[in-house]
Amino acid sequence: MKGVIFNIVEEVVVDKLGPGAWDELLSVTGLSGIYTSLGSYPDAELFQLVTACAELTAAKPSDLLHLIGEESIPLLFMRYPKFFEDAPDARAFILSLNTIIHPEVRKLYAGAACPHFNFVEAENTITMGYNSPRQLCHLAHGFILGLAKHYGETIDIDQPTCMHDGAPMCHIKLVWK
Amino acid sequence: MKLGGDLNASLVREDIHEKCMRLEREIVREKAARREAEDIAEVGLRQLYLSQHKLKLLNRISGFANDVDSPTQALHFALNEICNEENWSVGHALLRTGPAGDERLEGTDIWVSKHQDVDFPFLEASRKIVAWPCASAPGRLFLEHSPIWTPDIYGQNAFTRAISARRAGLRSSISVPIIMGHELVGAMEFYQTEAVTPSDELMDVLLQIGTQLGRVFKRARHADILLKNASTDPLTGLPNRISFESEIQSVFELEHRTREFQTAVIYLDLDGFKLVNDTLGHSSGDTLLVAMANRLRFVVDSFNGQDWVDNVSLARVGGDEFVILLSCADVRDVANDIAAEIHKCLHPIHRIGLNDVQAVASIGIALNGPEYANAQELLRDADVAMYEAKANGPEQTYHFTAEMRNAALARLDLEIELRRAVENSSFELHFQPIVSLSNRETVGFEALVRWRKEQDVLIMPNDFVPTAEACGLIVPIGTWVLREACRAAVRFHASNSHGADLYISVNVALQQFQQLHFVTLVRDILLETGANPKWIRLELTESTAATNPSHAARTITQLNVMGIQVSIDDFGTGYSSLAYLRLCPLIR
Repeated sequence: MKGVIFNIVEEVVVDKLGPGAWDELLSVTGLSGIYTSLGSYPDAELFQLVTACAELTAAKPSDLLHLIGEESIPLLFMRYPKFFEDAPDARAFILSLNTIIHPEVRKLYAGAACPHFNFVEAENTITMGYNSPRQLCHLAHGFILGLAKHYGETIDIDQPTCMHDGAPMCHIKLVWK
Repeated sequence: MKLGGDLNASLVREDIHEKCMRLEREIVREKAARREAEDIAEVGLRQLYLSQHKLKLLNRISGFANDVDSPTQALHFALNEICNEENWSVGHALLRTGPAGDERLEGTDIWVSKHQDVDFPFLEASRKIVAWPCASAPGRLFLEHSPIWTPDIYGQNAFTRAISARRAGLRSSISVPIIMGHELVGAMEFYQTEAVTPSDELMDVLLQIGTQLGRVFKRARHADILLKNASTDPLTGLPNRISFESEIQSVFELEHRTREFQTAVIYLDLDGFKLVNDTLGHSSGDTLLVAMANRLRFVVDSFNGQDWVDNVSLARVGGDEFVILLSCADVRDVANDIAAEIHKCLHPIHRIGLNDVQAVASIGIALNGPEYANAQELLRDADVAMYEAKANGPEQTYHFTAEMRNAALARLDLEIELRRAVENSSFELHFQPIVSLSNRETVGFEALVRWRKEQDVLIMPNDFVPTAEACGLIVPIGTWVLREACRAAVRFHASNSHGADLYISVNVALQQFQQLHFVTLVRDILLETGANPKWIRLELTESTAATNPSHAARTITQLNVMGIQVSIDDFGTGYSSLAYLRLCPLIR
């Protein structure tokens, strides 16, 4: 996992739970906490931090990932405004993930293992297929909540199939109101 | 004292508070400095990444262009590399035709496409395009010899492919000139579904690629001139087409003067050569060609030594095409004997490195007679008979008959109709239950394609699949079948809770299976349709699996890893040796 994701998660945690929260998570997990946006760190460390945070706040990990995803969008917007400027709305932003955003991420961070989404488009609807071994569909869900807020849109998000329930892939269905 | 103590404590507290504040300020500064350093590094890394990748792209294409003699191969390679690197949807090459003053770029069959079935109508429209020097790309390339970026293709005046481009979801294009000296000899055009402005660096690399490709054209032109002046094929040492044509011409004239006809043209084409070229590389293809030419030479020499044969000569007239000119009494029988010897002689496996390859022949024979007005007609009819043999192949020999010419014309009509059918997806899937012999339960369904030619006219696969295979349309048709079968599997399993293991079996044609991106295509279709891999079973024919067994084994393994099972149909109808199947992880 790229360090920039750890940095963003840290910012969200500090913003929501106060300045000492991140340090506490690091103490609980025993992780070094040295994450630069340019580096890569084991996926397991992120999962450890999220699990510790869920225990600390008594929140469900899935809800926590929704929150982290949602709150990340304004931070990502500050760091990478160009991705948002090129997409006039949330639909265009989402559809550019495979073709523009993830290729750009790979240019910045060599070897970044970005997920590949499959899109089936219909009027007012996009069904996203996701089958990364990281199984971070809840984070993707949160990102979409954040995008809806960023673009001032209302998107109903439904997940008819989920890898966490043993399905071969997650389907995330987005319906614009 | 007490007062003094309090004061001291408060001074210490203030000192600590001050210290904390200072440390916090320092941390904020440090964090900001780290972020700035990361930002600077990101800009540098991105730049480095782009430069390295562009340079590597240029190197790959230049390297390939230095090694090949055929502009078509070089263009195809370049289109593929550029589309892969830049993630563009479609790449298409145009070639310049027409004399000076009437100059134009014409569409070709040289293209690459990420989603061939979706892009098909656009590719068809592109094949037929003629671009005159004009104000829109690619015609503008005549006027300015540098890449042209068109952010909105529909905004151009003369964009004649708008309807099919919209259907493929294309938005923007880059047209790249191929320049030889100061002359535009062709162009590459790339289409993407987004309008991502290309960097100056990319445009510069594309220009350089165009120049590198121009060098291949230059060499090809020189080679053409040399070949025209030479009579021998440099690779095999056999007489070439020019030499052969002059020979057949003199024989033809003599026989028509004397009215004594005892000459046959034996036209043969190697099946399997192209595959070796595509999968093992051109030098392997050349090695195979030389080896097969030597076998043919051996056969021809053995007949030349017979005193009842007046003359028999062999020439290489095309990439994998050879012609034998035979003159003798009982020419029909002797021609048949030669053809039989050729089949026998070409049959044994040839080994290139670690690969067992085979190039068998399809043979067409035409006998000279008073009905022919010129030698070209005789040659053409032998070619027509060869195609008939190929269609019924492998390893067949056919004599030309008048019906074949009619059949060839009918095939052409069928091909045109079939192209339209692919554009309109005028196909249907029918399902036939697969029943287990042990318990008579239905274990799955075989997906069978039908062509709905008209509302009440349904064409069976036997009547169109051979033509689709011959003209390459089998690839988009096969993709359509796979996607529809996946959709059907999803529908079936959504509405039936029983039979969780029922699968749909889908036939995969050789050309489909040989596609470079076949595994990726299957994965994309599974993801897009949401079909569980265990609901789909791919069926190969034995000869498909036997053609390039190492590629087959690799592909089948990758499909298995995805959870898709592969089985072999028509077992025993193709090759007699089954040794290669040990390489393949199949269901049996």
